[in-house]
Amino acid sequence: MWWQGVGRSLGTLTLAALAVAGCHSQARSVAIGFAFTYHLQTAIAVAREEIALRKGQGPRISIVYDSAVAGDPADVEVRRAERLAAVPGIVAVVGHSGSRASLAAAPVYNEAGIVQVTPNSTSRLLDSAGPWTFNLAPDDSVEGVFIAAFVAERLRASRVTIYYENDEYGTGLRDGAVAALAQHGVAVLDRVPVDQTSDFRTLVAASLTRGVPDVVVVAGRQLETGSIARVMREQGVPRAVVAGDGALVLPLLTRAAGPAADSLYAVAFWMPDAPDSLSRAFVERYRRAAGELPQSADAMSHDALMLIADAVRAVGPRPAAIRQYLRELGGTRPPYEGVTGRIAFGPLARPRLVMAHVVGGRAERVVGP
Amino acid sequence: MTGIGAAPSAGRGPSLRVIFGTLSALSILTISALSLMLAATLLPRATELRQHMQPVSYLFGALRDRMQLVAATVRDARLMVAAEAPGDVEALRRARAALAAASSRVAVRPYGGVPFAMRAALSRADEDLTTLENRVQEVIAFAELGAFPAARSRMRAVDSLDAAVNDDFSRAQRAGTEDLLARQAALDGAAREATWIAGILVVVAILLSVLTLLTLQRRIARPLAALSAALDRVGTGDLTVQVRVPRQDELGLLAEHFNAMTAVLRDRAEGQGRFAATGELLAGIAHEVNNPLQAISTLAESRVDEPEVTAAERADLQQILQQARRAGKLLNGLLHFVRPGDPEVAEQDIADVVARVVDLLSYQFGVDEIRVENRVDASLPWVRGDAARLEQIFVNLLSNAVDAVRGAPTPRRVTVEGWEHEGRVHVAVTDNGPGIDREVAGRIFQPFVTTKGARGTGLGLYVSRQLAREVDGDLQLRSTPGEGARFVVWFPAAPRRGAIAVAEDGPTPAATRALAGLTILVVDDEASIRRPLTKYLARLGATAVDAADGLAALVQLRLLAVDAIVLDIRMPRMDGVELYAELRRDRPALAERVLFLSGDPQQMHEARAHTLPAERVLAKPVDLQVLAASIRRLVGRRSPA
Repeated sequence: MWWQGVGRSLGTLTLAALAVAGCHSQARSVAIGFAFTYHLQTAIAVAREEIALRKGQGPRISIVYDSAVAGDPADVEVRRAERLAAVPGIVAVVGHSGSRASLAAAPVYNEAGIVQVTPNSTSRLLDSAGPWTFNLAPDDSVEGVFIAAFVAERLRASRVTIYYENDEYGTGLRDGAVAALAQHGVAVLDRVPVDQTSDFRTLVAASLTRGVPDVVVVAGRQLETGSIARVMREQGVPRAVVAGDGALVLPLLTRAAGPAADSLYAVAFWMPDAPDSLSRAFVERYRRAAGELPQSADAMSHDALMLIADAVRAVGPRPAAIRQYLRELGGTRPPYEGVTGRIAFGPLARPRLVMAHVVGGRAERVVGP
Repeated sequence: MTGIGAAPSAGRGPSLRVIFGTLSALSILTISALSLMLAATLLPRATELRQHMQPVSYLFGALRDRMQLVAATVRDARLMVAAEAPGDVEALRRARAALAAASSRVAVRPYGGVPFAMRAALSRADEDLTTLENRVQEVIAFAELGAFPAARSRMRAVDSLDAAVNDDFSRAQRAGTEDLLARQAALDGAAREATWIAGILVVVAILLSVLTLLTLQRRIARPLAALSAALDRVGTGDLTVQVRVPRQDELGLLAEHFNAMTAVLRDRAEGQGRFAATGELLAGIAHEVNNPLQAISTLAESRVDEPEVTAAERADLQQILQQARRAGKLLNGLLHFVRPGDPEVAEQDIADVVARVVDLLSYQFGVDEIRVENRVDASLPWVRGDAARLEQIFVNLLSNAVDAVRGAPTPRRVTVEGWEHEGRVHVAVTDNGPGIDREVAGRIFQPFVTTKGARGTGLGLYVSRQLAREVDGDLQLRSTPGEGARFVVWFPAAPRRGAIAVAEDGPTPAATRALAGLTILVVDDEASIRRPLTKYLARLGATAVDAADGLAALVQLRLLAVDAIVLDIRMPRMDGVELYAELRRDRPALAERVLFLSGDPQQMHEARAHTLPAERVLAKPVDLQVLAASIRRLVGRRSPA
């Protein structure tokens, strides 16, 4: 009925008035969501510590951590996003874990008007996820070009088999790599979809009947990558296995690969041996907190959290202002100096990719800045 | 609405402009509100529904296509496992290619507007489909490797996943349907809401329309009807009508103006009534006065040339004759002004018109010690117009000048000048009074503008200008405040008349025996006129006989052969008009030789006098020499040299 509409309008006006009246107190308490797997908790701890160190500059910033499990289905990611979007005072969310999860959650944040910063998602579909979604990592086409160049020029392979996880991350990286390999004249013998529950022995054996590659490219995560490397060696066809950024989670990767771990190469966006001062400081704090070295995802997540905190301090807690701040980075604002390098979302954005070789259970930089 | 007497006082209310501006604004607001409310109520929900339908349709379509591709591959794989034969290499390649083509996941693509429940179910179905594809890949791999037991085992997992995918898809369909129904319900609710709003606004619009109509009726139609009725009554001559002034809006002001105008008209009508009565009275007086004047002047003129009259007596007689003629001239001029008769446009000697008016007002000038200088030259071209109306213009201008200088210190001067310029005859009336304020000067020719207070009607100059413009002339004020007023009236010059022919029969000095041989009948009821006139005509050689009225004249005419008749118009028993009618009927030749004498020349404008030839009517007191010359002209005789 029309009076219900009027009532709703009055109610909305009242809430708006209350919101305006209460904005001052809310401005003093801002929440940043964090939707990642549990292994990144140290990155949060370090970020909290850094944010606390800057206390007094702007509103109080808290990090709301909604822990995920690797491989959570999309509907779980959607519900997680809805939970985070409902947190009082939330202005932005860092996450989710990987392209599939980030894409599943993106509509929630875009409809709620909350900034979403994805630290290590590479699907190019994120470019069209919505105006509130910002991606720190280079997309899968860039990563595919990097992998293809490494395979062709460094490993001098002419034939490869691609195993891929059949989601947005895996298919995106597969397609990027296939296109780039074709430009290098490298033949793709076979493209095999896998997941964590795949029968790797059967799939690898069947694939080997279709052709024996010089190098295996895996567009999957640590379990799939390690398993394929291990099975290849078990099948008596030890080959270098080159994986995307999703695989470089140590020590899970080396555990899955077993004795074939040394055959693994994986892409990273950052390595703890980075010589710059920001990286050294981050590594030091991380090591102090966790007793171990940080990995690429830790640094990327840390940068995402600190970037949002910096935006809140600069422009206040309004999500629209934060979004505008992020858009202006590399344009009317200088790029953000993060641990993983300069962060910008305009023309100045320059992806920093590193190819790491797993040696003795540790990742060593073989290509990259 | 109409009434006689003072109109009721008006209440001050909003002006019509404000009322109709407000009503128009309210109407526009109502229509705008209706449009905006409909748009605000329906558009978002309709847009939402449309935006929602697009991704939902896309996601369902894409997932269905993918399911069909996978289902086809599952069938092939099942056949392959059942046959325990891997099939040819090409078939395997096709199956794997189909799976690869189907591996493009759809449900997590970031389309806004998709309900999360449906998105979750679709995502689950999509991921299950991916897992199903992976398992089918394994089935194919097992078949390629000849491991059919393992393939059959994996095929069971495929079937289980297939059922799960169908469940998820159904769940997504339910979620989508429920969401669609909810959105449709919202749209229906919005439509109902819009209907309510539209209904209320329509009612408001109807009320506004009724209010507008009532306002129109009350504020415009009724006052206009009252004004119209009042105008009708004014048209019938009722100048006592007054309309009610309900409030001080535009129509209220109009009603006030109407009341003021009828009041002025009423006063003016009363004045004119008195004026007309004065005219009637004056006509009677003129007749009564002109006759003795005629007798006096006739006696004096007939005696003045007699040889036995001494020089002193002759001078006295000439003085009597001069004063009698002056009195007659003044009286006739006054009559002419008071009873002008029907307008008759003809060429007029402007100098003569001005002179007559100056004469008319000469007494006033004398009383108020005003020196009048009439410098209008008789050589000026004539102008076309009605003499009475032209006189009225100059009476107004000179009267105003008198009023203007009356209170001024002496010497008081009024100057009348005339000149011709560019085919126009200009006449300026200038006084040395206080002049006219610049503010008043700007509207001096508007009706009801006066500087005379209650004494003035404010119509004199307005009417004068109208009269001047009627004959393509104009009246203007060229005045400097403090230095007197100067009114200039101009008329188009009429084609210049030729030199006025001196009538051969015009007045000439009396000549003895000038009418010798003529028999002239003098008909006048006044013996004091009739007898000296007869005596005078006889002295000019005529055989003069007389009669006291028309009937007596008819008797004389039966006895005598008469050459000419001098006929008074107003007489008892049978007056001049009746006698002339008889003559025209019975003796038309003689009727052509009748001269008329009138104590009231304006009676020629009466209906029954229209049959009289105006050129043969002489106003009393008549100059006897003129009379003799006229008789000679009538009978075709010339005066002896």
